[in-house]
Amino acid sequence: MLPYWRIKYRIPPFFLWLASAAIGFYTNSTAQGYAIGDALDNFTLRATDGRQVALSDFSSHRGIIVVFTCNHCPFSQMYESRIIRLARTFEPRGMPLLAINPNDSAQVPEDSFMEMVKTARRKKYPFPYLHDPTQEVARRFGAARTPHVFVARRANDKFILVYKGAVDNDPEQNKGKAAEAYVEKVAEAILNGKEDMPYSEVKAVGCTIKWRKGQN
Amino acid sequence: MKIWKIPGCALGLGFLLAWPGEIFIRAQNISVTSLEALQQRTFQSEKPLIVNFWATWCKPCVEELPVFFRLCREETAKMDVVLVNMDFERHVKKVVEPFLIKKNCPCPVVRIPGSGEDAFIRKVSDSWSGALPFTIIFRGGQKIFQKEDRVTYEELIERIAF
Repeated sequence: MLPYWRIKYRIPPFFLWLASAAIGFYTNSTAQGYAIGDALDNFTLRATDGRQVALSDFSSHRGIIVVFTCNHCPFSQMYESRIIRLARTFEPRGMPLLAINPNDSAQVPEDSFMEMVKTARRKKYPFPYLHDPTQEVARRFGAARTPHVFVARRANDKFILVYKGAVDNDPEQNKGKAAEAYVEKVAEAILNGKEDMPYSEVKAVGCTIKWRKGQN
Repeated sequence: MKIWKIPGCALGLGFLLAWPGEIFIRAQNISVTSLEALQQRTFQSEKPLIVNFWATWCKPCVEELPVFFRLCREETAKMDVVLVNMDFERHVKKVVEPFLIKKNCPCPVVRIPGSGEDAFIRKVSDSWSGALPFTIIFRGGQKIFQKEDRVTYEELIERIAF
């Protein structure tokens, strides 16, 4: 039996389907970014040590790990030591890691550039911690949450996106051997010259990126 | 033991037994359900169902909870509201339940096993990244609205009217 409101307003099933599709289109279009297989555009952002760091600075490397993260998000904090470990593991093997904080510090003062500098010094980050004040880079990537990881392999002169999503499926680190280390396995696959990646996209819970008012 | 202490002890015990609901065993019931069960409810119902995914560690989630509390207090004739808690399991008793009691939560709160995982997030919505807060409205089994950010009271009322 049809619900009362559908009988009263004579709403055909097609209309409901159309409304549902329109919602899907709307939310997809706002969260679009690089798809798997896309080449990454170059970008230049300021790091916490004052340097300007560009993606093109790493063009001689075999791949790159880009992590959208921040100071304030409890999930980012939970993954901080694993992100440091990823950088220490893969940077010497030719696959550096860049961390980018895209949050609007007007909404989250803990994510201001000065607070980023303090965090990077205190935790001795072994990777460039970059500030994305215009949020242009986050939008281009289609980053939606923190932490949100993008892994790309170098092909000719370009970085080609091969993975986006979670670091692993074990935020609390209590799964032991059942844990899946997505980023680590994808990075290993790139360094081992494999064509097929073990994962391409894995979603996980995280904090929303705090977009500047009126821009999302 | 002095005999005159007995009536005092009995009075104290009586006091404890008389008001335990208010003082000691007042608790927020958090039931366990599935996404299918939630969606199924909307097939047979005239009322839309608003489902909000939240966690206590998520500051914007906590900031927008009063919106849902107000709907639960004032608009239950027009809609149903369910809050899906996404905290870690080990925090439910120690953090989530005391939090809900402190906030005097008037809404039903549920937990869905596997709710932090890729398969669950995709099942809820292909376009949900997994970031919290996330709100979705079902009507007649169909999704009529979803948002991966904070929502306002007016925004939800407007969507329900549509």
